[in-house]
Amino acid sequence: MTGRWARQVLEASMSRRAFLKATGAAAILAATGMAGCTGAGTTDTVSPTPAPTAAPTPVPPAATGKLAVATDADPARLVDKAIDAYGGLEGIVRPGDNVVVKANFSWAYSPAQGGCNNPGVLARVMERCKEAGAGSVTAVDYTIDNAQDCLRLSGIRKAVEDAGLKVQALRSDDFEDRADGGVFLKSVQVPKMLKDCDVLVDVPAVKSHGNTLMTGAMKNLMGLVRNRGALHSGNLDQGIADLAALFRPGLTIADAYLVVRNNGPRGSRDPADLASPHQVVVGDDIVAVDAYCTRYVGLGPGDVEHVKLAAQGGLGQMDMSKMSIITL
Amino acid sequence: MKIDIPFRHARLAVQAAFFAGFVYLFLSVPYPVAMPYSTLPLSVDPLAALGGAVFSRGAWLPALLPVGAFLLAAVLLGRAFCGWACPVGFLNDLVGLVRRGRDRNRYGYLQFGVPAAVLILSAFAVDVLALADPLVIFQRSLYVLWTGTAVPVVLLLIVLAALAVPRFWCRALCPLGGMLGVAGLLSPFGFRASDQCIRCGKCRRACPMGAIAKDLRWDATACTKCLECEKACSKGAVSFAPAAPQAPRISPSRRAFIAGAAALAALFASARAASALTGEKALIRPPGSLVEERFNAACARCESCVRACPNQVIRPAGPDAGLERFYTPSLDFDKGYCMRCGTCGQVCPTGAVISLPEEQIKLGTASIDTTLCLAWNGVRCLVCDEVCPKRAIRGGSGRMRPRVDGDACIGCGQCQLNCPVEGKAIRVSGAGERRRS
Repeated sequence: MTGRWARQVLEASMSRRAFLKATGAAAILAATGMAGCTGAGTTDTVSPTPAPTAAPTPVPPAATGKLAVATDADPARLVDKAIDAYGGLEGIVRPGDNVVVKANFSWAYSPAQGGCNNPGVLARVMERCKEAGAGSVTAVDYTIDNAQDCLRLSGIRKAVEDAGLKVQALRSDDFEDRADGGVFLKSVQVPKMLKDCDVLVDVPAVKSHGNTLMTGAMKNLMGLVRNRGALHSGNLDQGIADLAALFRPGLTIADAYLVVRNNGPRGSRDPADLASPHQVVVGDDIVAVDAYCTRYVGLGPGDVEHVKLAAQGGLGQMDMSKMSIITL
Repeated sequence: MKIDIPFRHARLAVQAAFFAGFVYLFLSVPYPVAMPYSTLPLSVDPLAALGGAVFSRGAWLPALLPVGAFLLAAVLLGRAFCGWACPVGFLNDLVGLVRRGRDRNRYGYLQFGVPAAVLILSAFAVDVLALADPLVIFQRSLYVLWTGTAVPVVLLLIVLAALAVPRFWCRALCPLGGMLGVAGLLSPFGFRASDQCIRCGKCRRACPMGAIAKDLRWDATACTKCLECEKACSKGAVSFAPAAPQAPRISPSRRAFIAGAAALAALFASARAASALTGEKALIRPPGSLVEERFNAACARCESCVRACPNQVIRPAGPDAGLERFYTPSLDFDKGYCMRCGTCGQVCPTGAVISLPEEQIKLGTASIDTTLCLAWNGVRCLVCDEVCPKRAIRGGSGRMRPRVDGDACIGCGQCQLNCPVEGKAIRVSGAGERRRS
């Protein structure tokens, strides 16, 4: 059985590419600048400086540019406020859906040190998916520090399991060669479990990042890729935009409960590195969410290269004036 | 004391249960380690403790309690462990089911000569226990079978020998069995033949250990209390009812001395040869390890730490590290990183590795090959900076000239593990490593 998201997004983006490869149309489309309007992918080679015309797949029609931002010191209430203001999860999560939440629990740090999702925020997002009728809700990540330590120290295993839901730390053999990765990667290795996915929800922990300056919703998707080291070998920013085009999550809920403002993306034991906006940002436009989140690390949307590239590729909106932002 | 249940099957069932227990405990070490269960098989092992006593200056002394309990059990029950619990003994008995050899010799001179040589030698040089301890052999064999990395040659030889002589390993070579046998001299449960005995010799023929001599004299140091003799006796004359232990008849034979001397010479020569063959390759040892020479002497090559490491960064050294260091644990940062959790030190049975507080750990120092490094060549990579838990990479952000702060770096290998460059632009060497002396 193939999940709805897997059919509509993951396989569709692959079959389009397979088609273009077969007809040799990719290069023509790219050369004529048509890629952006046809939903075409990219060229097939690894190019350190991608052609500006080789754009990621455009945003699916569902994206509205609508954002809901809430503030509350109580993680569960915070999530409820934001999701309710956004209009609930109806129409996104359908009864019986297999929901996969790309969380962030990559680092072995406590909730007070940041680095990972706030456990209360993550668990409440998952509960809301369940309450919207989901058959199963699973949080996943491919951790950098030891997975057991990450799950234990971050408090995420306890919070998610106490809510009666599942959390899965991906292992290297949980991946398969599946899809073309866009401009940069000849192929990406994606989690096998995604083929049953009906709805992909992206729940990044917003943090500073030494390389990309900010890690948010798009950067969070690197945790769905095994061979992510290869992204670093080329143009990381373009690679991240490519991943956003490949995975196109149905919903993004950025966790800015605790933000690592400096010296991210690890957690930090130095309070000076941390800030506590106690906010989450909900939206279906991954670029808009990231553009909004740049403020948490003291930047603007134009400062983060992968946000710009994704917006230029037609993947979403980075112009704040064109978003409808509900703030609570 | 006549029991009618089929003894052989009852005993095989008990052995199978212990065997399964050994396998399960070794292969399923959880993280964090479940003490004391995870380390139970080797924590009772007097041979491992002996090796540790010589080399690790008692850092592990509280751990001697299980060894004491184990020896006490041997005082009470003799070599019942060999007959009922030892996984290697079980494999020997399985071979016995296929082919029952007829050799009835005890080979005691080997069993006491060889361990004597081992003991003498382990006070000086290489830890030969690693080669001779059945539980260590069993663990290492499990490891290589489980990972599919090699054929367990030693275990295979032991099993093959049982085809020719039943339990040849157990009666002639096993130093652990010999040690338990000596303790068993005090056991009140000894072989007795009553007045009903007609001297038919069925018990002698049934004994898989050669513990019963032609004149029905019984050797407490060989008997594994398997009770095959009792079952074989058609007159119900054999019993193991408790009684005052027979006075130990220790008469070290000339053969035992010769065997011991020969073994000593052979082991000494092979130890010298092994030392001479030690490779030049620098190995990074688990945190809390002894200095290299003492480490090689203390390490049992039991693969406990290799198996238990939650990040699987500890791997057995290959033949390129030299014969002496073959199958000793070393850290491979292309496979994982060290998170200083201390699991390796917790499971080490000899004290070659102990758990240290994180702030005392320094495995080595990373250094960057600027010709390979992507950042130094204009590609904004900097994964090393991102993953370093000690923020020891300086000059990364903006300037793209990452360097390692050698004082901050603890050699955990996160940078090397995550470096996307083929052949790794950042590598950890043993420079500045901290070891126990």
